[in-house]
Parts: sequence; C-alpha cells; structure tokens
Amino acid sequence: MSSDVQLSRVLAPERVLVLHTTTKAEALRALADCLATAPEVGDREALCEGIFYREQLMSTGIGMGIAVPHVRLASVSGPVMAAGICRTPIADYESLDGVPVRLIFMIAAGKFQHVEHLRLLSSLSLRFKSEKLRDALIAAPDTLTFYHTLIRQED
Amino acid sequence: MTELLKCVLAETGGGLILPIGVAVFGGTVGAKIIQRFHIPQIIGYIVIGVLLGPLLGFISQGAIGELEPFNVFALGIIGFLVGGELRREIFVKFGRQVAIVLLFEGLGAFLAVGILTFTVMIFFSGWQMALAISVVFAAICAATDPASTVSVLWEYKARGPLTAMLTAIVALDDALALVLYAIGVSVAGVITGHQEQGLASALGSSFYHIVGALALGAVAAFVLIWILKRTDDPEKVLAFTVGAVLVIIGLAANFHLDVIIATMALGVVLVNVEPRRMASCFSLMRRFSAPVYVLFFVLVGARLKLSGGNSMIWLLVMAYVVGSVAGKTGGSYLGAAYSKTVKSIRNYLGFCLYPQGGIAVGLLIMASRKFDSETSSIMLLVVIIGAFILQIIGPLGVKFGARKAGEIGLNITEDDLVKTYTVADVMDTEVPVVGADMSLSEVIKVVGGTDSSCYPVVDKDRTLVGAITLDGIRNTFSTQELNDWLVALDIAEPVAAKVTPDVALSEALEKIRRLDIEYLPVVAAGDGDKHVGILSLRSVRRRLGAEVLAKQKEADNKYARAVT
Repeated sequence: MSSDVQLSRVLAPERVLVLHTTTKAEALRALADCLATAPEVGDREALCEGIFYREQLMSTGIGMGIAVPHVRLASVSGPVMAAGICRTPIADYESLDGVPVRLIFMIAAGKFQHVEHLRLLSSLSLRFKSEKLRDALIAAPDTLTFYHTLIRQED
Repeated sequence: MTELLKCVLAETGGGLILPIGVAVFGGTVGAKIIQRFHIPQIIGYIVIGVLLGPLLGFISQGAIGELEPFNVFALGIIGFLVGGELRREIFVKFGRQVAIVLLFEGLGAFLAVGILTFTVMIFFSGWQMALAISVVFAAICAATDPASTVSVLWEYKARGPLTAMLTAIVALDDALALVLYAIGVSVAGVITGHQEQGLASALGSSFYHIVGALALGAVAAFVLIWILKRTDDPEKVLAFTVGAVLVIIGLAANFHLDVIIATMALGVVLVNVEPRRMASCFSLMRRFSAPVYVLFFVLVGARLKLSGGNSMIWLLVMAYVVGSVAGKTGGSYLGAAYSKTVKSIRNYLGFCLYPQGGIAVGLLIMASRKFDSETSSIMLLVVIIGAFILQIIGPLGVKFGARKAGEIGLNITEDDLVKTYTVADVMDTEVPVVGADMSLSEVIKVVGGTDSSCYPVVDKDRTLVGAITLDGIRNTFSTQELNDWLVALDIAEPVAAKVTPDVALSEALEKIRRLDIEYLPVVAAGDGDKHVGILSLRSVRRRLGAEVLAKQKEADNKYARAVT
C-alpha cells in the first residue's frame, strides 16, 4: 500500500484554523465545526461524536507536539481534513510523549474507506518526522502560509 | 381452455394429466406434513393416495388402470437405482451371509403365511382349496418392496452393514419370490386342477424370467457404458439412461422377463464396471426419480379398495400380515444367527423387510388364473389390503431397524448437514475478540498467535463495532510507523452483514455467498449487537467436512466389525 497521498486533495486553505483555545475538548470541537463545513461531511453531530469516542479509546496525540484525531463514518463521502495551529500549546491532550500539542490535523473518511484512511494517516505521520517541517508549520504566521508550507512538501 | 387444447388432451390421454399433477403435488405436501412427526415420507404419499383415490374419488380406478405403464416404468427406475447400490464389495463382504439370510427370511415368511392362511381357510373351505390358496399367499409374501425400503434408507441417510445387507436382500428376494411363486402356483394348479404346466416346467419358466432379465440388463449396461463414455453432458447422460431403462422395460415386457431384475442388472453392471464415471449418472437418476417415486406411492394408496370386506377376508388379511411380519422377523433372525452376522443385522434386519408393493399384487394377478373368479377376487383383495398395511408399517420398521442399528445419518453429505444446522451449531466462539481500544501492536500479537481469518472488534459493552480481517492487517504492514498510536477500531472494517445464532445455516451461507465474503459476525438475538461468535466459511467447511468424515468412518468401522 502506497503512502503517497496528495494533501491538497483533502485539505482546503479555509479549513486551516488558528486556535486560541487551551483545552483539548475546545480545540477538537472547533476543528470538528470547521471540518463539518467540507462537502464530504454529511453529519456534524456524528463527526463530533465519532471524534470524541475515538479519543476515549486512546489519545491521538502522537508526540512531537502533533495530534491526529480521526474517524471513519458512514456520513462522510470521502477522505477530508482540517488543521489547527494552537497558539497556546494544549497540555491536556495526553500525547504519547507527554509533550503539549501545537498542531492538530483532524481527518474524516468514509466508513468503508479504511485503506484510504490508513494511507492518509501514514502520509501525515511520515511528513512529521521532519523537524524542519514541524517547526515551519508551528511558526506559520497565518493559515495560508501554513497551508502552502504543508502542500509544498508534496512538490 | 381452447377446443384445440381439449382435443389434444383427449387424444393424448390428457385427462390423466390433472390427477397426475395433483397426485405429485399432494403427495409431496403429505410427505412434508408427515415428516414433521418423524414418520417416513413414503407413508405421507400413500395416505394422500388413499385420500385422492378411494376417499375422494379424484383418482379413479380407471385412471389407475391407465397409469399401469407408468407403474412399470417406476418399478424399472427403482430397480435401476437399487442395482446401483449393489457394489461388488457388498457381495464380497456379505455374499454367503446374504444368501443364507435371504433363504431364511424368504422361507420364514413362506412358512408363516402359509400355515396361518391355511389355518384360516380350513374353516371356510375344504383342505385342498385351503392348501392351494395358502401356498399362493405364502409364495407371494416373500418379495420385499425394494422401493419403499430403499426410499426410507435414503431419506434417513443410512449407511453401514445393516443397510448394505438390507439393500442386497431386497434386491434379491424378488428372484426368490419368483422361484417360490413358480413352485407355489404349480402346486396350487395341481390341487385346483387348473394346472397348465408341471413343476419342472414352472421352475424352468422362472429360471428364464430371472436369467433372461439378468442377461438383458447386463447387455444393455455395456451398450449404455459405451455410449456414456462419449458424452459428459449431464442432460444427455440423463436422457440416455432413462431411454435405456425404458427400452429394457419394453423388451422385458415383450419377452415376459422380470422388469425389476432386468433394470437392477443394468444398475449393478454400471456401478461395478464404471463406478466413478457412473456416479453422476446415478445421482442424476436419483433426482429424476423423486416425482416418479411420489406418484408411484400415491397410486399405491389410491389403489386401495375400502369396501367389500367380510370376516374371511379380514382374517386372511390378518394372517397374511402377521405371517409376513413374524416370518420375516424370525427367519432373518435365524438366518443371521446361523451365518454369524453382526448383532445389528441379526437383531434388526427383520424389522426392515416388511414393505410389500406392486410385485406381490402383480404375482397374485398372474396366479389368480389358477382359481375361479370369486376365489381370485377374494385373494386379490386380501393381497391388496395386506400389502397396503405392510406398506404402511414397513417404512416405520425400516426406520426403527436402521435407527437401532445406529446407521441413521451415517451417509450424510455436507449439504445434508447444512440443511439441518443453525448458525449456533457451527459458529466459532473461540475466536479471540479484539477490544476497540486495543493498540495495533497488541492486535498484531493476537492475530499472530491464532489461526483465525477474522477477528470481531467490540466496544467495552461487547457490542460489535467491526471486524479485523487478515487483509486489514496486511494493509498495516506498510504503515508500521502508525502501530503505536492506532487502535483496533482504526483498522476495523465495518461488518457488511451479521446473523443471530438461531438463523438457519443454509440462510447464513447464502448470505455469505451473495455478499462474496468469507465470514459473518454472530450477534445475540434482540440484544443490541452483542458479540456471540463468528461464522467463518473456512471453519464451517472444515467442521462439516470433519463431521461427514467422522460419520463415514463410523460406518466403515461398523463394516469392518461386520466382516471380521
């Protein structure tokens, strides 16, 4: 299975947020609201519920200041993503390495799109191994710069 | 209906088509109902026959007469299929025992019926007439009806030494009955003064009936084998085989040979010369024979005449039935004990030999020429009623004997098991359940330590939320960097369908086939979606295969014990 996923297909500039929240719950809610504006998402409530249920099972804070909350739902028609830059690091995210979260990438996919879902998660995970990229994204002054920094990686 | 169609039906004897249709349809319904009471289906056919014939008059005696050629055809098919059961091994294993038991049960019935009917008749006629009539009854009762016997054995999937011995006996006691008949009728002819031929001549005639029929069947078998070697098309195989059976029946009738023995010889030669190639031929014929059987037995019931009995007739019927039952039970027991068969044959074979069918009636019609018309019609009535009673209790006896011998259900196929099982019988409850929050690394450990192909994923209430398949696991091989932070839920596939344990296995397997999947999760009925087990195609096949093998082994062990 190839991990090569074009992020520009799943992330639009308007779905990048600068978050000023300080808690995990607030941040997830804000991002879910944003992601729910994507045409692929059919049910905002189901999205929110799915994201929080998944967090109950295990934190999606994968370390290095990054979190990837994700869910597969019947009401989602295709892989789609929203991103958030936390100006105040979120300490209650319970990341694997305990480091407060600075970047959140929320992903939703269709119920039967487990392969595409895994591919997208893997693609993000591989990208964030680069400390340079992580730092550039955290330091992005606005959402558009963030978006282009992330997308440029693909070229 | 247009005038033209009416005309065509009338011209072609189409007036019989409706009774035939109702008989086949009604007989099948009757069998279904009667099977619910664990009674052999054949009794259902006969009961429907009684209902449609003597009770409602829907099938008239005239129609039964017109359908006589069909009866001969049905007997031919039955003979062919019984012959197909007689593999060489049976004779190699039980040859001597079959001969001894056959002689004992045939002579046992001959003596018992002879003595009892003579005892009855002596009160109503002179001793000579009593002797003549009782000798004919005695000679006729030896023939066991192979059709109903084998039909019950097939219905209950019997396999083992008793089944093998019984099949051989019912196939051969027609020949014994013919010999006894020849002797009996000659004796009766001498006594009544209607003798047309001497005993030696009568025996010679029986010899011609039997050996001629055997030769006809054998020759036809080699011709049929030659033809069937040149075609694999099932439709053509069926057409050629049915055609061959019809030709043999026609030739046997023309040359006054025994129809059943001729078609039986055809079956015996086919199954022993080309066992593998002919397996499909017999399987096709068995399917083809289903409605033929139904109609045959419905007509057995319809033929019954309910009126016209007097005390002598009823006493004779009683003597005929009791004598047949006692003679065959006692005779086969003594024969089995003398030839040292296994206990199951000795104790239970007798119960399986009661059914009597058209052969007895047919022989009696031929024998009745030796008597005046009043006596012959009384004798015919006795044999028709007696054979009817034996036809009703016979199948019950076959089932009882086969069950007591432990041979029921030993000849099953996987399809038979599928029909009787529910999901609960074969679902896998030992498959490890994966919690939705289990990390991917833990899931891989679980999967690596077991050999299942599908793992149900449940939440903390054990509600099914998905399933992990080996394909799903394979997808994670290239994303191992995710192993530490993904959980089972992330890689679980949604379940396309699920079943409850009470669902019929056939229905569940049909669902699996339709969805083109390998497994179905099983959830508790009416309890949310609580996980109960997995119905995996692979383990169902393995389980059913093992069960069929175990049953075959059990039957083979019984065979082995029977031979040593």
